[in-house]
Amino acid sequence: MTKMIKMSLVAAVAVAGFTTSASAMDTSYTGKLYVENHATTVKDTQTVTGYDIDFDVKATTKINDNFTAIVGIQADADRKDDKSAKGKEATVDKNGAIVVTDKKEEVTGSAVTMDKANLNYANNGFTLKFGRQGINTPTTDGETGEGVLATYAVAKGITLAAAHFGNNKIADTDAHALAVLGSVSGVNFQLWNVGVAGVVENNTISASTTVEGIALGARYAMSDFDTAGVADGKTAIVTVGGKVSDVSLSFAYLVNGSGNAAFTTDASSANTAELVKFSAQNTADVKAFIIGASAPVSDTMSASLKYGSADVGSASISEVVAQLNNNFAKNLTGSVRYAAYSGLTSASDQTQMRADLKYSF
Amino acid sequence: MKYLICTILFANILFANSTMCYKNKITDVSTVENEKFDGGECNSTYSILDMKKSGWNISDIKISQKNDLFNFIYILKKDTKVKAISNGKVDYAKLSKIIKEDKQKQEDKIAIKNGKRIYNKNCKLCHGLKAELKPQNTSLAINTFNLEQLQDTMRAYTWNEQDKGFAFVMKPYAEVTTPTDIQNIFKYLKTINK
Repeated sequence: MTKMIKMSLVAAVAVAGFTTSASAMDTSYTGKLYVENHATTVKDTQTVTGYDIDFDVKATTKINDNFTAIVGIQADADRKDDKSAKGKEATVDKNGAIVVTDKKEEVTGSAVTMDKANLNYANNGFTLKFGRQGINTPTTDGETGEGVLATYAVAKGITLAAAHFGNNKIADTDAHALAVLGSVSGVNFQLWNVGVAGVVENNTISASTTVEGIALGARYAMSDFDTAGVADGKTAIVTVGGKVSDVSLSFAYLVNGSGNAAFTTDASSANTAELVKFSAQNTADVKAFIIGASAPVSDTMSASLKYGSADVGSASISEVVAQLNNNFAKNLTGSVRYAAYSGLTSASDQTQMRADLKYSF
Repeated sequence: MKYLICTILFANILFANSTMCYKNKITDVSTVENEKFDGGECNSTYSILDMKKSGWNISDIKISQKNDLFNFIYILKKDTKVKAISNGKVDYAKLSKIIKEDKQKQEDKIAIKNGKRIYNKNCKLCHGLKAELKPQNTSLAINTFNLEQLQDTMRAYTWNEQDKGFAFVMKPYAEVTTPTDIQNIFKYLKTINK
């Protein structure tokens, strides 16, 4: 009798144990808090100071070996104090009367958005992401969209990708992407076709390799714009990178077509080039180069220096950027940056100072 | 008296771990010990024969039948011989340490098995059988990584903070690999790269 009671108890525990393990979820949370304080001085007189704060958090739940669910929240806040905003401004009130007020020196903003909400599948070389996600292509730089992205590793080092987004921040139309990414005989290559319905069709080819420790890269992008009268865009970029002792060196040369540049949605997109103010994005007839060097200063600190120059038509722009980075702790980094930009006209010359901290968890 | 002293000095305490595994709806009773059992240390991974090979002994069996299907519950025990007697007293600290180590070994075994399954499913094609490859010649061989490097790199992919040109390919896999998975994969890679 005693044995039977024990065994019944054992059976009950077995059932309870099974139920628990079937419903148990492995959820992890990661995120980052970024705080930036900056001051931009335009033409040595007008100064805008302010801060940007970004807080991102993401919950990843493992449903089983093949499926995960991801939800991410992004909260941004910023404030700008524009010392040049002196004087009066006029507005019309609801009764139609003209109201004159002092110009606002302080502009603040904040937003909370759900920038990620997707279900992911990964199994034996096939992945599928369904839902709200960042769209990462050579012409886009993580703009949020809602749709589906699939990748398939057809062989070692060769991956096919296809994506369709019905709702995206690029335009109010459908967007798609097709890609082949791979490596053959030590040469990496990417072929991309990215289209935004009614706006543009973009094709990109890129190749890169490393010879004797020197990284070489080339990229050519062509855009066929749907808007009548807008010339097709072309952008070619070559890059060289290497290391001499502890110093990392980089060089990039970019040419945009004389009629138009290849379409990009963000200055950080792979098919263009940027520094702080300096950008070659969506501008025709540009020849630009960016040269950079970075080196460790101590166990926790590194320094970098970049210089960019571009001929835009018959005019020219340039920018120099110096930056110090420091790791205060494993998950806490900070930097101080100085940038001096010389624009197409002296009125657009500006300097910018920035200090930031980033905590990751 | 002399016999008693010798016993105290050299005796081993026999400490028994026990676990319970079950399997429902068995049709062929003759092959039951080959089936992967659920629950306890069997964890839907090991059969009774596997458990026996790992040093577990059958302590009790309960069988119930419904129609032509049988439900089995096995109680298994594993004896751990512990030299934990000192000056005639049980050294509970030592005993506790050995029990913990034994439990850790069992947990590691399961972790390595899970890590192997996930690595072979999602990582092996690009990173190689023993994680010795450098995918696209841009990434490092991850069999040289410590756990912290592996965790930091995977995290960086999920936050778009790491891209040597092919982050687009790696990111979907990083996003389905949880911190527990990463630990398990790391333990597996350490085991096969000893």
